[in-house]
Amino acid sequence: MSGSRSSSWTIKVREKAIEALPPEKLLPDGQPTYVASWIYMFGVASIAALVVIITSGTILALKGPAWWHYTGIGHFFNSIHMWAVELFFFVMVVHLWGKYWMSAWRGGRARVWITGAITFLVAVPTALTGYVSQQNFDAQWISTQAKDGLNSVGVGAFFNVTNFGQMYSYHVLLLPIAVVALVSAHVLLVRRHGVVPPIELGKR
Amino acid sequence: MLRGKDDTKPWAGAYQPYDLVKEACIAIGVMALLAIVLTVLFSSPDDKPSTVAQWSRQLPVDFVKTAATELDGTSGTATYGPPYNHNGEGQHAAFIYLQKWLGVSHPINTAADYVIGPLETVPNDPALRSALAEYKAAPEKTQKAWGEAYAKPLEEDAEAEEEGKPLPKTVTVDATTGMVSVQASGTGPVPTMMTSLLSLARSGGLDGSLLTSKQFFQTDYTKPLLFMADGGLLDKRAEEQHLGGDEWGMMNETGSYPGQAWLWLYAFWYQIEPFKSSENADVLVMLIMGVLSLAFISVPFIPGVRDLPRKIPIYKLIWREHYRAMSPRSSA
Amino acid sequence: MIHVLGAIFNLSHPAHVVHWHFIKLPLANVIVIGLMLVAFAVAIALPFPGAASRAAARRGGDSS
Repeated sequence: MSGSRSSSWTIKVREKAIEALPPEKLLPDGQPTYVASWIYMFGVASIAALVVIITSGTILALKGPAWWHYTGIGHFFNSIHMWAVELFFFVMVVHLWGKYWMSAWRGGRARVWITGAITFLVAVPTALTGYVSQQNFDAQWISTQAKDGLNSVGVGAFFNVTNFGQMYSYHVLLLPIAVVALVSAHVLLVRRHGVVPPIELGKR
Repeated sequence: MLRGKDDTKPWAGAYQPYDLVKEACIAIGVMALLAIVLTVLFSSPDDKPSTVAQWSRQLPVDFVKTAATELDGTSGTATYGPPYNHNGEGQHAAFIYLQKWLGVSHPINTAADYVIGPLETVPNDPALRSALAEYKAAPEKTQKAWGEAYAKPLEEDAEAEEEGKPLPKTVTVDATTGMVSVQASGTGPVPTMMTSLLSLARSGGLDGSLLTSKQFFQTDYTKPLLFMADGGLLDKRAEEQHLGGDEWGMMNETGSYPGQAWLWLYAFWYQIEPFKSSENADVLVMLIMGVLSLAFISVPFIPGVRDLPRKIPIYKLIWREHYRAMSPRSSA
Repeated sequence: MIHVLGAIFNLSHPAHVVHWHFIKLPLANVIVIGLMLVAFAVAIALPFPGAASRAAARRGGDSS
């Protein structure tokens, strides 16, 4: 039996979700008139780059970690993956610069800033685990160097950059899940609070 | 105080039509196209990995010198401390010994794992068998003395090469066989062991032995990587590609490809004192970056940092159309 | 052996390093950082399309 409406967890979750983000807020078809600068494009550009990273990464994962070393098509997708990562950090950092100079945390939007900052900080080890999973000289060098920094703070005791199996698992599954979850939270918070209004002129 | 003066009101003004889904699709198309164009123009690097076999063939003296230090427990890995062994305390910042506190999770006994263990797998070599037996039966003090006597000419050779001086004649390499001869007395069975290890390495057997010593299937390359990192081959290749820590190397990629520009602040600290020459550089830099990362997350709450955008009004450029529209003149 | 397939420009040679005081960066990284600064400046400077639509929205007093 369904139980009474007031005790239904499903109804509670659904009503809370709709209250926080009704459909017209989740996917609005309008934006405030102050959204009028190309700098606003760098957020969606970051998401777009992430989509290309995940797509190309999925293709690489389908054929296994050695594939790209011995086929042209594999190397092609590896290159797309690498350049998409460069593009991702490029646009994400420009997005960060824009949001800082707009003080985009104003009006109760601190969590938007926080989730964005943590996304950047999680993206860095996501990239590192990729670099040490390449199974080439670069991976050998980066792993034997990075181990010293991580060992020095005790992280090396449970996160071993010279352990390919572990690093590949983090790179292909665990850290992408974390990045996607953080980006989703970040975007949903922007939808909830709206894009931050301009700083009022004439005030201190 | 934490929130500061924030009188940002919800927007009660006008809205323009804005197609977010179309924008996202266009953005994905543009990013995909950019990635493809960059791929077609530049591809991506794939420098082949070094193997222990290559190391032993290209730099046989360096290989033997490293193996000797693994045997006598003076190599970088042997004296590293946690997480590999208890032969060092690792790095610390004041009284904080995180490296030590988190313990040995990946034990490596360099003498057993890199020298004696692999040599014990070599069949049909009575001279080696007898040398191993002699070494294992000897007291620790004797083993140490043999190791030091053998290592001394190798260290002198390495020093001379680094300083560009003429190499001492005590270390020679046979041009045909690639075998290394070290002239020293009081070395016991160590020369026989080292010669056999070099042969094993040249044949490729040491690569396999280091990887599959525990089980058939392996994905953990810690042992062979640490062994190679104790030697000079990876360093040599890294120097050629400008990947060294003293030249912002952690930001760099092999070849002329862009690397990890986002690591600029992490790389920066290693270029200046006191970190540049500190034995605890890694832990100090990591702690600084940890604090700065927390500060980065907390920008909205840090007075001064959160106020800078108002002091340097780039926002006036970003929202210039809005300010013009809102000004009293524009509504007239 | 360095293996790069089919690139129009071969970047598999040691980098040209740019030296400035104690800063040593490969040219590729300098270009990337430079382009980021340019992109930031250009993104702010360039007018964004749809000014007429926004002006109409402001005149119409539209709030959706």
